[in-house]
Amino acid sequence: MSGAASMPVLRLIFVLLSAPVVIFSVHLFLARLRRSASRQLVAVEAIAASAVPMAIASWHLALRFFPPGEGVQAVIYTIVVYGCLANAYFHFFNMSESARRIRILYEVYKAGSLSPAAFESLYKTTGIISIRLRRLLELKQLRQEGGQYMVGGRTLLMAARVVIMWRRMLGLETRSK
Amino acid sequence: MNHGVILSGFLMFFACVVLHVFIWRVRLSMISSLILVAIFIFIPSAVLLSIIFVAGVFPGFRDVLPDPVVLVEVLVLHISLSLAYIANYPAVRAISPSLEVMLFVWSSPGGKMTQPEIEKKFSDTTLVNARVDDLMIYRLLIAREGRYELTGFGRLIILGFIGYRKMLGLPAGEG
Repeated sequence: MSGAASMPVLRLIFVLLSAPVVIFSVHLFLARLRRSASRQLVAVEAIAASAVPMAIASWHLALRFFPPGEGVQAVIYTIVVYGCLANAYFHFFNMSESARRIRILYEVYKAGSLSPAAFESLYKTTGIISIRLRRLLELKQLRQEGGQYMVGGRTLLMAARVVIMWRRMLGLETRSK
Repeated sequence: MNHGVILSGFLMFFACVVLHVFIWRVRLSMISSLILVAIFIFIPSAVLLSIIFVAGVFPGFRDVLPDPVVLVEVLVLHISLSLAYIANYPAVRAISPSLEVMLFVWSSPGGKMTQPEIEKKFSDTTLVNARVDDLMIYRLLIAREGRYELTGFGRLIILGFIGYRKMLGLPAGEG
C-alpha cells in the first residue's frame, strides 16, 4: 500500500483507538447529568451517544477517502471495532459496579485487613441478591407483581443462556462457584 | 480496505477461540485470565509485529510478506474482538448472580419466584469464598495471621477502580 493510500487507513485506526477515551468523556458528563438513573443504563447511553462523534470523525477523517469499492468494508470494519471496544468498556464499568471481587478488594482496602468472619457479615446472600434484584428491575429484565419476580425482558436471559452454552463448550460446570 | 482484512481478523480471532477451548478442555488453569490474555493478545501481537519488523528491516522479504498497513488493520480488528471476548469472560468463568437469578426465575414452575426462594438457591459461602480464593490465586489478596490483606498489586488495582469511579462522580460499587 502506497504512503498516500495508507493515510485514510491509519487515520481510521487512530480514530477507532480513541473510542474508549471518547466513551469515557461522554460517560463523565452523563453520569453527573443522570444521577438517579440506573448506572448500567447510563453507561449504555454513553456508548450510544459516543457513536455520533465517532461516526462523524471516522467519516470526515477517513471513510470518505476510501475508494468506492472499499467503502462498505471500511464501514463494516469501523462498526465492528467500535462495537467491540464499546462492549469492553461497558464490561469494565460493570466490573467496577457489580463485581464481587472488586467489592472484596474495596472492603479490605477500607478496613486495612479483614477476618473471614467479617467478610460473611459484610457480604450476606440477602444483600447480594437484593442489590441484583433491584438492578434487574431497573433494567426491566425482571418485573415484580405481588411479591413475586417474573422475567420482564429477554436480553439478559439470552445472555445467561449463551453463558451456560459457552461454559459447556469450555468444559466448565454449569453452576457458578 | 479489502474483504481480506475483515476475514483475516475474524479468522485469527476464531483460531484463538479454538485454542482457548482446546486448552480449557485439556486443563483449566488456575490463572485462567492471564493465560487468556496471552492467547488472545500477546501471542498474536508478537507474531504480527514480528512480521512487520522483518518486512521493515529486510526489504528482500517485502514481496513475500503481507503489507504492514494491512497487518496493522488485521491486528486492530483482532485485538478489538479479543478485548470484548476477554471482558465477557469473567461472566462465563463465574456465572454472575444476576444471570443466575434470570435463569432461576425463567425455569421456575410458573415462571415466578419470591426473593426468599431465589436466596435459597445461593449460599453465603459460595458467593464470597470462591471469589476470595480467586483473589489469592491472582496475588491480589494474602492471608496473614488469619486475616486477609491486600498485596501491593491488589492495592494498585483497587485504587485504580476507586479513582475511575471518583472521576465519574460515583461511590464505590456495591458488588
